[in-house]
Amino acid sequence: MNEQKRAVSYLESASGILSWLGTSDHKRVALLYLFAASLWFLIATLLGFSLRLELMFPGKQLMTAQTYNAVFTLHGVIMIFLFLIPAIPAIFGNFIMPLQIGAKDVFFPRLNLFAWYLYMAGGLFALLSLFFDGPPDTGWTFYVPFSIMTQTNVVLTTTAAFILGFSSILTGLNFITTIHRLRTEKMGWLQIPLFTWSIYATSWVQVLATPIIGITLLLVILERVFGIGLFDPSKGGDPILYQHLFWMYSHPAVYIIILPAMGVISEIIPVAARKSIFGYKAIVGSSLGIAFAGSLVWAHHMYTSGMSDMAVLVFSFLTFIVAVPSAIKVFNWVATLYKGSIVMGPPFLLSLYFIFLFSIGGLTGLVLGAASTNIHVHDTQFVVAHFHFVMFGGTAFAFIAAVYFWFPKMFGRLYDFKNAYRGSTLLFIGFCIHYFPMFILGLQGMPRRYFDYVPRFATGNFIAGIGGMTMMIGIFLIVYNLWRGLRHGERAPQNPWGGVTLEWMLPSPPPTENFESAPEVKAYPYDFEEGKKL
Amino acid sequence: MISEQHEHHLPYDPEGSRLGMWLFLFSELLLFGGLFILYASYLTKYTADFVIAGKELSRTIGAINTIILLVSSYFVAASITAIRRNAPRIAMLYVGSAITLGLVFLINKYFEWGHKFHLGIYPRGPALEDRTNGEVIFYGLYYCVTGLHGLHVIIGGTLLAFALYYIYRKKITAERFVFLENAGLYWHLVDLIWIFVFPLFYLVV
Amino acid sequence: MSEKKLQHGEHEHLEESHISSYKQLLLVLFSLLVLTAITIYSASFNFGKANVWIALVIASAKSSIVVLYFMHLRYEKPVFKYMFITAIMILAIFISFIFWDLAYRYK
Repeated sequence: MNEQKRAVSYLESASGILSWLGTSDHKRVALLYLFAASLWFLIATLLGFSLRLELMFPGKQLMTAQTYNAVFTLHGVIMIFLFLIPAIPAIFGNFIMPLQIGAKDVFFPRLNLFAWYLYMAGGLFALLSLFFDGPPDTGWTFYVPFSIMTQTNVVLTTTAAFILGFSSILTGLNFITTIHRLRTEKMGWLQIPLFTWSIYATSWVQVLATPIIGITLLLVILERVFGIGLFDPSKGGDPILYQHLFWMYSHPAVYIIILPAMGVISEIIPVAARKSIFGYKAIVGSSLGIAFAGSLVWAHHMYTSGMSDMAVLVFSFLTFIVAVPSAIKVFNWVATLYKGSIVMGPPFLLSLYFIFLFSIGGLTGLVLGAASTNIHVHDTQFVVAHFHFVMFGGTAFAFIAAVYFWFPKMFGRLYDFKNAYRGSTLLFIGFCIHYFPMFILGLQGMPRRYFDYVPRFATGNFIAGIGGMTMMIGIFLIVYNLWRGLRHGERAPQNPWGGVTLEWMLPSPPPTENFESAPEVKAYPYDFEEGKKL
Repeated sequence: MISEQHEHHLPYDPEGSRLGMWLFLFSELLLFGGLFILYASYLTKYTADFVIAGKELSRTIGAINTIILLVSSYFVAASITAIRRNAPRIAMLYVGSAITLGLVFLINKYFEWGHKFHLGIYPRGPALEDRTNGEVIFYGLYYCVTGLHGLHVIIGGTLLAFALYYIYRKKITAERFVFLENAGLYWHLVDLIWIFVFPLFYLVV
Repeated sequence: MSEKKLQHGEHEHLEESHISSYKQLLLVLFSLLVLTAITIYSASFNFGKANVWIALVIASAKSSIVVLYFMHLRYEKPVFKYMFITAIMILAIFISFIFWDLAYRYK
């Protein structure tokens, strides 16, 4: 556990901005992503907050209807393509996954850096869309025919999404190759930690599903520029086909968004409970099952689109199936906690919040997945609440949990726990006050993507606004606390949480080359006794 | 890919390299797959129009282009055999032949498209204004698919050109040839896509 | 002959795998050309809806040969084959499931 000659940490091994911009160290690439993705998260959060302020009272508060449309489009595009999809894989997948499998780096280190440059380029194109004709007002879904006709910067934004998709594909194939080829010799498939498994499953979805949106958005661009006519009803095109192609990716994309988040929770729960995870194989199987089943259900976003009744029936049925593997995970996490010796810490608190919020999100997903109830709540605030519960209450909370968990390892410092609890709890309470009313508003009939509403929805929107403000305070506290920890936090020990996966066998922060000699591999990845070593 | 990853002294692992390439090819398959999904959909909707428009494409050029790509795939596969049997100059000859055939393919395509442009058959073109929706869609798909495919021919040809250069500079050898293999895999993908494009666009009945 | 041991368990993976002979490759090319001729010939008959399926079957046969022999998948480890099948399966699901909608709307 102690190193005689202290290898230089990856943070100090080289200095100067070029050593970062030209790095091929997976840990530095991870931090490059962390820096950029956090900025995008904050920008998109502010955009979202401005939407909430606008909706807090009836009538116009801050912006015109056209601006409102542009703001919710950008909010969605940035949150989804620049934060939710890349963040946990590109940051923690990059940093932690190679450590968990005992590797020195990913298989294609320079491709890794290139993928980050693509990510930055995609972000740049999204920024550019603010100028010239203004950001698109189509919603992040870019439905035709409006996206073909609107005089806003659809081409710039869809190009941004295309480039970001390419970055996602390259990262995915890099991770799959890494996990297959660079595992330390003694680590078989069933010794791989669950976070790495979640990255593996996610990477497959990234490689196979992303190209579909690539071609779809490319066709929108070609349609706008050359008038090809594939989606234009006046030329015989079928707009519903666009929706099919769009959701063929975008539904699996939500599994790209949630699977790594679940992987994070699967790492934290056993450590907090001092007990091995309940049903390791079931969680592995359910991760792969979610990845696969997620490709079967896309048209549940389209029940009211005008597609055939048969399709409505079939996709509704299939959607119920995909809920099963997700539920398996929740059962297994809770079962792990049962009779464990739980130690509270910020990662664990966030994990509890995650389980609560994600479960609500998942259950309301069933309301949406069932065609009969869907037709009443489609395109209402109910949908907005649902996906914020799973994406924000789910993935974003898991992202914060991951930061809290791996921050000491990545930066070699600790942050203040009490402030972490305070900020996170404020965020949680604010979240509930903000989003619960939206379920009710949706059931009462308030549409989504509307700049204004009829007076009977005013109370719900006002309460939601209070929640929104509370959330912003919570987020500020969280970020500030982490920032202080980075600058002034006390030095972190090698293993502050008592974890047993390989990343905790390295110094905090790790040296550039990671492991100097092949690490010892436990027979079972979550063995908290002095278990059998291979 | 061409040498070991110096930065981390990762050992030379051509199988892993190939694995990465195959994964990338899967994404390309799905990319074109989206276009094939659209083709299948619109063929169902506009079968008669597709037949009419499809007849206007030259089966001769289509067939020649098919043969060109199949033969070029042979050359690329054979170049690997050659380099592994320590015949780098034959390997270069084969790779060069494949590149040449790719160029011929592109020239054919240029004339094909040129002919159609001349007749006013292109998106927003005059000749398409009076045609039925199904025929407009057929040509829309035709240009998208063959255009994207042509772009991939260019990329593949460029990769092969690099491979040719690397063989010449002895950076690809009988022991280390994964770059050539991967460039070859990409080229075969280009061939694979055309194997489907040809009957679906040129042989519609 | 095949593997050099480097640091901690790493191995150099030098190639020792199958080399396709020119003869085999030429045979593959010949089969592809024959199948191409067949597909062109079959298009001179009108079998109605069957034409597309015939063309697809022949194209699939040609692709299989290219993938197995030119792309060497036949001689790769099983994991490559499973991955390839997975990718094809996903594409097949996408293409076929859209017809739950289209088959009932495009009459």
